[in-house]
Amino acid sequence: MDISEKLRILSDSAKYDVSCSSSGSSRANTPGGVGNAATAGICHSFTADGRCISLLKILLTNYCIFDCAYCVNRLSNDVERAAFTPDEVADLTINFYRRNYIEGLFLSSAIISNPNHTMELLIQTAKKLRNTYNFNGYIHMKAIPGADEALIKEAGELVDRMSINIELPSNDSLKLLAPQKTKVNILTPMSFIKSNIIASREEQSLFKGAPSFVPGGQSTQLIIGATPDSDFKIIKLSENLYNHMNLKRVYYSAYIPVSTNPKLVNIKNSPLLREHRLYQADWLLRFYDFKADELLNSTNSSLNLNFDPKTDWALRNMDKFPLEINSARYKDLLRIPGIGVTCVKRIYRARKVHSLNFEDLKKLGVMLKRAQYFITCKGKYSGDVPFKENLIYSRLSPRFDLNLIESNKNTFEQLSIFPSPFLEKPKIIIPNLIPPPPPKPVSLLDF
Amino acid sequence: MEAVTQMDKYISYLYDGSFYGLLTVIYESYYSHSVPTDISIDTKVVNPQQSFLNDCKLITTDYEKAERVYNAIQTKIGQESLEQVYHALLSDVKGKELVIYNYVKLGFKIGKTIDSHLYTEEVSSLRKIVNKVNKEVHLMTGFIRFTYINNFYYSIYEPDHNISELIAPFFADRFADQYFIIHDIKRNVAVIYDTKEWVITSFYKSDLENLKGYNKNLVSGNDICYEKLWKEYFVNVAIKERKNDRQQTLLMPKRYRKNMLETKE
Repeated sequence: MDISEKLRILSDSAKYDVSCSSSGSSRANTPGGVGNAATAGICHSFTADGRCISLLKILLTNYCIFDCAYCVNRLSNDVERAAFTPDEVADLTINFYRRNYIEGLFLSSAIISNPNHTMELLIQTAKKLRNTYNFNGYIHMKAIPGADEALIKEAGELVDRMSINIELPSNDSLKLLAPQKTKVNILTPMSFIKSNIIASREEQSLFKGAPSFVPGGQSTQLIIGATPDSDFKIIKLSENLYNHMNLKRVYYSAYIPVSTNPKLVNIKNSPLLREHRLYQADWLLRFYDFKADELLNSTNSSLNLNFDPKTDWALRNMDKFPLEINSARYKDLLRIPGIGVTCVKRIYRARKVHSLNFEDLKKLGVMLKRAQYFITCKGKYSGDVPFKENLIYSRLSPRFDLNLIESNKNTFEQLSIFPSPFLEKPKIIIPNLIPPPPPKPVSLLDF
Repeated sequence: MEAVTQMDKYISYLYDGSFYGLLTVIYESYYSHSVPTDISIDTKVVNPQQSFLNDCKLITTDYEKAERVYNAIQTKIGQESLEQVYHALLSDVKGKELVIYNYVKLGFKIGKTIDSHLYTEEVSSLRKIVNKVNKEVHLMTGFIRFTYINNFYYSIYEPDHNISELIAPFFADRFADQYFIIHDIKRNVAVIYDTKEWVITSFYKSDLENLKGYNKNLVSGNDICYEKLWKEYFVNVAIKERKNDRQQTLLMPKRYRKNMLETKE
């Protein structure tokens, strides 16, 4: 099998892993070496689905001994199989890198023979790049659950980022869909990596030249929509991972039906909008000082698709608004819908030398489409409707009720005999003051 | 600088387009108490009608005068502002000189906290231009594509702004051990790096032909292989179920694509 064929098969298998970032590590080039890692990360291209290509993302092999129901590479799936040698991957990476196609390598693998053997092959590849080619670019490597700690330690010293994918947000889902994986099996190496990162940071602050260990931090991925796990459960899990595992990133991947296993939720459309809202909620946790419990709770457990989570939160907490731009605390400015971290910093800086009015905010580049309803400038409210909860609610609502549209999309293709008011009579749904109740799960028993 | 008085004259300035040329303009207008209505490069007058109506003055670059303005900006306004002014001048935005002039003028009045005054027209206009330039620099660190020819790596690109000298240090650091040329075919200049230092020089397509020498093969056989692999990879990693052309265009503007291996026709 030639390289081109292998690349086709093994990039096809790797593409559902959404992590692409090359940020967080600032590895310098060495004399006689090639490459460096930019802290901010660099996108080299964008594919037809609008996602960035930063790293050469491939599997070393897709021969797998596991049989996880949601995975395209599961043992029982009839797909083409291939395997790269570590040398082939290293050669491809360095040649792509020198032509500036990529920022580095994202190397993952199916479990071939056993976890330790797989991990050893991954390490060989990284060693070839770092030691033979003097490569100082970015390497993101998967830690294989179940591999020995010594191997994970060895890998961590070679790479910039490591990740272990949780994939399914609860133990029950894991039991059902990935019987060979367990929570312990995933969380043990994750906390091992965490403690090693902390230890190496300490060492590096004490001795110059102490070896780095996963300087770009670790990340994980959760699959959205393959199981009935709620958004609340998911962001609660993310919050715990950020707080207790020191994770750099949690990625969310809307499930794309790659198999028709009866254990899986039967969906025809992947929940892309839900994925988008989860990312927004994730940003709120990491950069806006929000708590998962503020965004959702066990009774209201799905993100509202009609509004971004910050707007949704603000509409439920109108008593906290409007905020005075010139005197609100920094952390409160961050809570204004439509204003991001960059703009908050600009406002914070400018208001020290000048009392800001509405026009000044435009000069600062602040987007006021949503923010106008939640702020006052020098005591003056300038929203285009009066500061009344119901008026603002309807101004911010999308023309169509996205919650309804999304839920109909899937129920429809499952049960075509079930009538939908939306498809029969396509009309503009005027949102009520109270958001519509979440649609009941459709099952044959209700019928 | 002092406030505008009735004595002030309104003048249209012409300069040579260089950074020191513009600094000389700032010097001249300050000491002649005149307000520039337009500052343009002497070969392409931006607003001929206005130049016709007003006095028009051609400024010859004077390094001594320029240096005094340079030092004044550095000490009175700050190093960061000096860099911003420089980056703004590298942009391709019409009327950038006047924006720079107004910014510097306000800077002399306000001093080191100038960049906190983001709500003013002067600072906000300059920030917009500088952001455009810096954004393009960042994009180009990703979008440049090298082809391997006769032991050196060659790339063509057509940036909106004249950013060659801003991207050069990045590539010289990253590809420290490889000879490369990054050719701006819009401006006929190139960054040339010889594994020790980089220079910016005027460069034409014919220069490339000379460099290639008698070897008529543009690309070595090996390179075609990696180029083919990259193109296939690019198509293959897109997830069909998530197709999103709008997002792709937003993040990778079409005008850059013609020089990128995976997207050019």
